[in-house]
Amino acid sequence: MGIGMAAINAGVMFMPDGTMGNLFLDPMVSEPDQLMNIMQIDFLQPIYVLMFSNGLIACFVFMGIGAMLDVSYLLDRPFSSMFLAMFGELGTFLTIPIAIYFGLNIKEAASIAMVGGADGPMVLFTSLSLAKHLFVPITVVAYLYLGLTYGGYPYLIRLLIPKHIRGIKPEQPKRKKKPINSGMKLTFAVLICTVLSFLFPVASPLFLSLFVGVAIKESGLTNLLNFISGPLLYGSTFLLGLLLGVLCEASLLLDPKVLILLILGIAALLISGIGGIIGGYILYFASGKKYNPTIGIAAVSCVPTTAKVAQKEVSKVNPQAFILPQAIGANISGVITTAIITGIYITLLS
Amino acid sequence: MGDVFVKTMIMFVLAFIISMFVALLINWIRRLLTSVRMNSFFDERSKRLVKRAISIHKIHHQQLNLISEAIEEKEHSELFDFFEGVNDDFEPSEDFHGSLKLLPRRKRNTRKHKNIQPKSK
Repeated sequence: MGIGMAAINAGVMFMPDGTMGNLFLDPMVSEPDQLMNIMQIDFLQPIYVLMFSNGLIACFVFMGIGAMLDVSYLLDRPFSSMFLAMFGELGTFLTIPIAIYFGLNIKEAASIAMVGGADGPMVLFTSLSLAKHLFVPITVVAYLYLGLTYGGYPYLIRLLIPKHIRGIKPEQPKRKKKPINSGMKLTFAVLICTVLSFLFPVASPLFLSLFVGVAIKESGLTNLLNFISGPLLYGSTFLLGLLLGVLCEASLLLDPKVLILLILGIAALLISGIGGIIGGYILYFASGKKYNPTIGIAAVSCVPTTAKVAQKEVSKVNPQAFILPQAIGANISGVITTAIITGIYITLLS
Repeated sequence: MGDVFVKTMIMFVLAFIISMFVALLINWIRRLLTSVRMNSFFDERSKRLVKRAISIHKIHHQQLNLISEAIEEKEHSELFDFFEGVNDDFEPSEDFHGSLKLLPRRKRNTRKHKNIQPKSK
């Protein structure tokens, strides 16, 4: 991303008509004839037009994420996981009024508020649907901050959860649940994808991508799984980063609106993190002080970073406490709730 | 500003309701998938048992119904190992009076399973 930013700003050309341009890509071109011409000149334009601006790259990333998920953790505790995930989305909602206070309209506000969901592909998808003129800075802000969750959330956990609570060992269920095999997980993926796509047709490409990844993982198609979780995921992430870097022209970064987006982005992530911990505390008190509220931070759906952060912080206090299964369940629920919220925003606001 | 806040809260409540509905759905799907009957689609061992049950069903329709009811009422909890599916150590057998009873599986049918002899009085 950094090397892309450096190259785009260094490689500026002055055209005969006095305008500035480059040989990387032009995100503002939309006329078909002009687009066909420019795709033969700018080397990254085909990737931008055919993968980025239609959300295909987001779907590829989602497919890769799906191929890494184990839905059995979600199937084990659906209610607590989804409950936490809703609290982990608090930033996605509360940032909207704040953004409107800063002078954005509701579509722009909803697009930047999606950063609170901590899900890059969702932010890309929402901003493309609701605020196409701002999708470059919003996506850049989102991806910049998603890297910060790994560094910032541990401090939030230490600040809000005292050591003796952080070290609570999760209680084993009194009655052992029946094990879930791959066939069941595959059937689950098909059923839930169908239902969610029916409920939110606008977000159905994302649901399909996620659950296709899950289905491939569970069907045991090793070659396909290796392709999706390897070259496809890492290739898409690489191209995404490179394109985002190339889109960061100086004129864009110096726009005062981007500064507002930077503030709103970090506010959204912070509120979501606090929201997740509040959800954790609610379950902690509801369970008679037996639930570890640190799991709440994993409801912020940055798969699997936040779950790992939660486990790491708990292990520092109590190495015997193993919260990762619950944290991964909340993490996966976070992905599903972010997709639900994307569907709600695009349906109600577009 | 107030309108936006109200609108946001409405969207939050809507998202919360839908998420809880999805959680309910996930729970329902899990229960459906792990039920004994559905389990036979995924588990080879259960599949074999269901096949056998169907063949017995043809011969002893009435008796099997009684056993099914007994299973459902959990009177014969030994029939099922609730963590691993159906217990293969038992089989329905006819006694001298012609009524069907659950007895430990006979040796001829169970090469893999240990032969459990009925307790001598």
